[in-house]
Amino acid sequence: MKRYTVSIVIPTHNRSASLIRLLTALSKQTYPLEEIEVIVVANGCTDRTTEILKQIQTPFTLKIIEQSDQGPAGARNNGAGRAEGRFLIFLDDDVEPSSSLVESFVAAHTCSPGKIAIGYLHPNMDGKRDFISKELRRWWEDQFNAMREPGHRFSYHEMLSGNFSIEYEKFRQLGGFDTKFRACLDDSEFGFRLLKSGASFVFIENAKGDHHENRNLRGMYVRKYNEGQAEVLLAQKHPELRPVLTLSRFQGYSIILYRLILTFAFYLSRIGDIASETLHKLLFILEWLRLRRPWRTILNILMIYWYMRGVADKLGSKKAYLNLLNEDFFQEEDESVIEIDLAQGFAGAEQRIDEERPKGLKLRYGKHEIGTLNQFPEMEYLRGDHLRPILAKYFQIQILKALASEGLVEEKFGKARLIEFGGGFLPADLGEDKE
Amino acid sequence: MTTKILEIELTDIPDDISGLGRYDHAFILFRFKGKPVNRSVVPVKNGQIDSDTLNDVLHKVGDWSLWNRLLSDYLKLENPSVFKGPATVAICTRDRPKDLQRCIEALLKLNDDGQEILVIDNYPSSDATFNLVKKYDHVSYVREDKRGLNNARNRALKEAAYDIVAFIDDDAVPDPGWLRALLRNFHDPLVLCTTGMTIPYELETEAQEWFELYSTFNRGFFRKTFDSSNVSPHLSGHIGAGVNMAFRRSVVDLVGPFDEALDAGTPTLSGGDNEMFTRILTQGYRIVYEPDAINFHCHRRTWGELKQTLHGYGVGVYAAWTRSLLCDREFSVLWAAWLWFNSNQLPTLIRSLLPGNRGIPFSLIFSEISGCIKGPWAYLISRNQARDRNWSR
Repeated sequence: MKRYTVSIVIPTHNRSASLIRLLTALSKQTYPLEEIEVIVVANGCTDRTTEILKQIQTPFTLKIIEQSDQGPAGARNNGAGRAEGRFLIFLDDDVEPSSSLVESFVAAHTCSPGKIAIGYLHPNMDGKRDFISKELRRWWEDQFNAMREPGHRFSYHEMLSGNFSIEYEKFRQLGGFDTKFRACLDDSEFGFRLLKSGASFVFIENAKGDHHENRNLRGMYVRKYNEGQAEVLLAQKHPELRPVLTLSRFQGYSIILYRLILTFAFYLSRIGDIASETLHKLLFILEWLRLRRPWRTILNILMIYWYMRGVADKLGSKKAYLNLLNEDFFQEEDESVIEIDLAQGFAGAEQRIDEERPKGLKLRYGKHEIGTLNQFPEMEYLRGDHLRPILAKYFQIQILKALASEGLVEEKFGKARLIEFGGGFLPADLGEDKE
Repeated sequence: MTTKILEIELTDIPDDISGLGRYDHAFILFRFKGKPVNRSVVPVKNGQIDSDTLNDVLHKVGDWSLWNRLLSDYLKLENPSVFKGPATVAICTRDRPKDLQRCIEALLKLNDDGQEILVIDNYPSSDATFNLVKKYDHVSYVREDKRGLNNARNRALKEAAYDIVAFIDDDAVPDPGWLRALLRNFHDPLVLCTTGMTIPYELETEAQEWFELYSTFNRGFFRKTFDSSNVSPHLSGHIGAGVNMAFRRSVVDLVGPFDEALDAGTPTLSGGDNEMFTRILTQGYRIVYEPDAINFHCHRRTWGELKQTLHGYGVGVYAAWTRSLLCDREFSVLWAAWLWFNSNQLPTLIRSLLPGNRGIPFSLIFSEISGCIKGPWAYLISRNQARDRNWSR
């Protein structure tokens, strides 16, 4: 029997003020505080974090771990190692949890046992109105907007470690985070192993925390550089992920701009850095003039450059990069593709998918072939409620054609034109008006 | 020339339509299970539309806007968390009790989801509006003495009991599903505003037909999400209009109130709604256009009023751009102004001058362009007036 219901693990690095804000918010939880323990891992702190922590009184059990800098992944693992709760909640030190956060996570584990619960991180820009803050806010909100969609199929990178909860046993079984990922993407890598083990995710809107996002433009370059390095590690550790990583996107790109960026990143990084500095200055001018479109273009170039700089520094040479991309890897045989006949109705199909949890689907409607849903390696095993959103997203025209051929679309609704529709072609501007 | 407004439900199509007496055209809104999918204007002969004409039109209706509906009907996909809880409906009005009455009567027929109906009486010259609203138990009355539609809008946001405020013009009438559809798209926290589709209430006069042709409120049959990455914030006319829009009340804190120097009741004549759309987009938030949120607008009936309206749009657009440029340092306004002039106004103007012109008459496009020229000065004057007014308080 565990001593606590919940252990909250908080890795922190030189941010004592926001850490205090977090702990204050935790003391206002609606969930019984005596069932909560909080473990703060001071990871390579050089400010007075631990002294301050030792002085404060908290209405819950507070454990403090001090360690030399082992990256957030190491800090989370060490914190979890000392945990005595049935459920782990991980919070970043710049998060300010709502009062219902712990209660919502515990409820989620009770309703859907075994699932990994992702909480909502509401980006709080603290009134900042510069372009990069708005971009970041949009990026964050879109992560959660996707998860809000009914029947959302989770991908490995949606395992966001800033605010999530997992059963202690599950965390232990998987061996926690991989500490080789020192700066970032330790959560994505963990997410991938979770998905591979057959785990499912669930998004918990009410487990909300305000995320005080402080990144500026330079912080973005550093982040992208770190991502470049971390994705090399990901590609090496999980070769089946390689096709979906950013570093594979540039293979065989003929656009001169991208080739130029690669050349600078791999061979001329000193000139590249100077050029990057110049473009960085240009961003400020464009922002002052409120010219959003050119600003976004330049930002994209810088993001790609710094990402590739990370890749280049990790691999050492362009040759190593190409080798990594073209290396053969042993693909585990995954036979889990099942055939679904939509003409039999959704209820049976969804039930079957729920029972078998396949990775891919072969879809037909009676005698009409609808198509094959590939086995995306980066995605959750399928559940029944994924089916209809997938059909709506990838197989619109095929389904309409099948329905039309079966006489389920009336003549006057354009049946003939639907049947004639060639080759599964979709109008690119679907959903946007043709004006 | 008069046009009858008709609706056809595609699951229940009549063989032919008769009894259209004096009309020579019919504007048909097609719906599939209540949802709008298309529209068409067809000729009326001897007071009827025969089955051949009707079949011809129906042939063109089978298209993506309908197929999308068929697909979601088959898949029975639910919306993400639909906005729950009641909202406020605000009507900003001034001295138009007859129109207002029609609007209120229709609003009272909507499904009762607990919504509040709020009438903002702006700088009234009589107590006719007050006396009208007094008759309805479920309608609240607020009098805003600061003249200007945007002042009334700000007051509505302030007085509203609920977090989402839907605006409808006094000369418009909501469709039964209007409010629910307009409230549907607020699950994304970045969405501060939604707009709906506005269909003409009547096309009885030539002026109304020209308005519908040149300056329609209809923005198409597909839902669209706008942010500054997919639309120029300064061409926000594509997004919607004040006749049919809803806001989160927090918009005031997040991007600021409606600019009191803009829109009806001030020298700038219009533009207050679009300037708000612009600011929402430039501040990194989103607007969703939802075609299912239908209301019907009664366009101005006389030629003189039409000319005034278009003139007012010209003034309003340029006044709003002046604000964006001078107050918000939005340099891309200049580009937007050039785009509008070059791709729309200039060709229209030239065409209207050619002999045998059957498009927009010269006098209309001229009213609009002359309005544009006045716009910047109108904004400066209006801003001064607003400042003086605030100081004298």
